[in-house]
Amino acid sequence: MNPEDLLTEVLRERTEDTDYASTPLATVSKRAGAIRARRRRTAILAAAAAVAVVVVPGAVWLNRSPSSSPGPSQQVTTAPTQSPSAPSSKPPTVALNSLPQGPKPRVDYIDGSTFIGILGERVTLPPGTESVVRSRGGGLIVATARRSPERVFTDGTAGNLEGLAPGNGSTTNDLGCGATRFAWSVDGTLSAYWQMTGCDPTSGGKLFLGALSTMSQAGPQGWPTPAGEVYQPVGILGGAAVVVNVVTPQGVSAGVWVVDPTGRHRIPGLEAALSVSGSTGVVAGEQADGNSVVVDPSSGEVRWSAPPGWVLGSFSSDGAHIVARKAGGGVSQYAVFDAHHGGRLLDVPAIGGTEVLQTAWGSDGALMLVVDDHQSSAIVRCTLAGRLSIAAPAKPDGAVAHYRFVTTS
Amino acid sequence: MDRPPADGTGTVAVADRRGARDADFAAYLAARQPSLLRTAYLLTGNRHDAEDLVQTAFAKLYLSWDRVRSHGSMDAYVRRILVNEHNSLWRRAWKKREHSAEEETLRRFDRPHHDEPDDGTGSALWEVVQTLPRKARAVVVLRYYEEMSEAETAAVLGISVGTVKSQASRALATLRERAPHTLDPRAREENDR
Repeated sequence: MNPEDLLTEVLRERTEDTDYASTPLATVSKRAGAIRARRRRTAILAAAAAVAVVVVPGAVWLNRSPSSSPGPSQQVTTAPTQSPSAPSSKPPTVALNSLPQGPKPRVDYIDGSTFIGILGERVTLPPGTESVVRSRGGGLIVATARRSPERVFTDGTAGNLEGLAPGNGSTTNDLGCGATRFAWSVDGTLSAYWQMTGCDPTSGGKLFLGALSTMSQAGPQGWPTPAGEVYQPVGILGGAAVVVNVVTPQGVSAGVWVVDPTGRHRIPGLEAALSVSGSTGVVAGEQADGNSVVVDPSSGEVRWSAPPGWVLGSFSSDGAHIVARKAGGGVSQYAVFDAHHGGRLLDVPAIGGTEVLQTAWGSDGALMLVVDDHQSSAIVRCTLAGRLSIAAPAKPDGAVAHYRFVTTS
Repeated sequence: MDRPPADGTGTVAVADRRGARDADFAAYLAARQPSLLRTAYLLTGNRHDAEDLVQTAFAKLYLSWDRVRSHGSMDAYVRRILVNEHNSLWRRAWKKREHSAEEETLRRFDRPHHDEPDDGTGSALWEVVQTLPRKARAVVVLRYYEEMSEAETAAVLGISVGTVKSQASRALATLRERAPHTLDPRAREENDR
């Protein structure tokens, strides 16, 4: 018997003795009524929002006008640590098909299986690409499960790291196994990744930082990392330090660390780093009690705390803003906060019938959103004035969403 | 052709049509529910979620019954709802965590590992099947339990035949890697003895 037949037999054995209660028609009919009612509510909300969107955007700024948004030249202050007050009203809801077509995304992203760079360059990605980072000379380094599935940990921790040549996407080098997350500097010139020794998460590895090459022997020197520690790069500080989440191979957090050529130090009080601002030198992270905070990485001093329930995301490239998410009611709410002081500046309007899959900051300072209705996804731009537009049209999803950002930190 | 009722309101005729429609649907529900519950169980891995999933799938079918029945494609339609709804439920849960890739990584670490398969029983293989990604598990269930062709599986999942092939191949590779004993025919025959 071949493996396929064995599998069929095992699955049949699993179900043949299983007994289920039969669902009566009345139960099905009742649930159908609930689904119908929900669809109607969604349609009504979307229709109302389609009207409201014309007049609402300027009103979604909460504590200040867009023009008074703190500029990148403002210094980070250390004083306020209290949670900013949050308005109780929910943001407006708009319909995706009512949004105007806007400029293309000003961010690197994946369109199906194609990497589309901010300058319009296109590279075909290998199947199973998890993440992508640019390398020196225009090539890409990708974490993928393509060539050696047995080397990919099924918990998703690591994948094959491969170098892709500029332009055509052909593989130039197998860089081994490593963390599936990359970090990069604000100006895009430096990247960091972690490569494990022998594809064994208990054996330590090397943390690479520099102008990465798709050919490992020409890349930067790697800093050895201790055995029994898995490094997940989160961001780059000051051009020479990498902020990493360290966990044991069993998944226990071993804290947030700043690693540089002279050594490493732990950021006190953080369980996990969420994002890093290379512009202002601060780190957003999560404390043991689950609260999101922005801290000084050298001392761990808390600059400000997010309101309860809000989880901080990535900083804008100038470090002035940070996106945050609050789960509740089945759909997450997104908002932009002042990254210096923690004031809630903008509630991102919800798009009816969709959920936000990913967020990223565009080079134009707008927040980019991958929105998905479970069948298809689109990229939507939200300006800091709260105006929404389509940056990439809706396309059907495959096994994962059609669109994905590669620069989410 | 049915004649309208004497009172001219149409109420009786509508009720009759609805009654006939519900009778048709109830017959289909009774005939197909056990089979779909088994498929849903293989997709979800537990009875509670399977029953919930099947109820939702049948509820959506109920809403579209007239249209779907006229095309004679009830089985394909309800199976597609079943799989899509299952993936959708998973994706909703995934989305709630997407904001923090690191958090997701930590959660992945927290998942139970099955690197030490048992002595080659079906339960070991089943445990590994449950660790497959949702889409891959759907391919496995449709291909190897429902014994659909690659083209039929692709149609239900709304993906290409090539993707079905690669997903199935990768799933089998994972099963061989993580439960090698269970997919070794000789070992299984020995166990059966």
